[in-house]
Amino acid sequence: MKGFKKGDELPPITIPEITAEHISHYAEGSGDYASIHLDKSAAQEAGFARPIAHGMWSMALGGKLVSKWLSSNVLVTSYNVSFITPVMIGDSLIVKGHLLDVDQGSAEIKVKGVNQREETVIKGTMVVKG
Amino acid sequence: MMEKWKCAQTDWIPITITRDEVRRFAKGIMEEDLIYFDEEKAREQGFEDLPLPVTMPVTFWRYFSIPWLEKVNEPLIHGKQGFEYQQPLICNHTYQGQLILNDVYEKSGSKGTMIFLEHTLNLYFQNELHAQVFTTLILFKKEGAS
Repeated sequence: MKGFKKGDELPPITIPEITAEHISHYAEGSGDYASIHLDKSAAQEAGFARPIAHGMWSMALGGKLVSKWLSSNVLVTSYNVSFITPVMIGDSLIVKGHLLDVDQGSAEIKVKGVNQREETVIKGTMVVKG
Repeated sequence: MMEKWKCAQTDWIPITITRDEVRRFAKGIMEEDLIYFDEEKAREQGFEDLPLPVTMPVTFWRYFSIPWLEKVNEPLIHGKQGFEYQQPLICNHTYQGQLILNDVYEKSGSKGTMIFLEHTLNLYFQNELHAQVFTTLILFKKEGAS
């Protein structure tokens, strides 16, 4: 957290184009093989043009905003998001972190994910404490 | 139908995550920090072994038998997700986990009535709470269902 102050933006996590490979890697890591994420026809039956990324993948990318700060003494103590709208194959995703507060080894971060249309796809807050 | 399950709990189960599972999950979320891949790097940062990425405990749901979801055939929408940590979770530790359906409530919207299912997954290590995982799932109520 050194060098950061209230109001700063963290370097964003940018996925220029979500691919089937992104989704299949998350499915392998998480064990969530729900067809809506992996199968075009299942996604279309559910009303989506293309398979949708796991919401938890988008949330997990937010964790990367702070992973370089973490140690056994510096933890993410809370991380909460709302899922607003799904992102799907072919979309872009940018996960941004805005420092709401920084104080003696702790930081509160507003996390927001947006797609290529600047629509908010996830939003929430994270607290890191040292 | 779901209201009767309010405050229902699963059995407690032991959950142990291996190094390979941490590495696979970390790869899936495009994590590059070596604390999730290399136990020596993790130890240099003070961890006993590889720590679990912050959101990984949501995957523990797959280990539970969840009676209140067994007869749900409609798609579930993931509305909200949260994590609270007292301690980081570490691979090769055996945690005791229990999933609780804390609340069931309905809200009406333009697309019909939605049923909200609020859950907490409690994770203990040696009788001490280390983490809680909060998950809100949403179901659309069927026409005519009570």
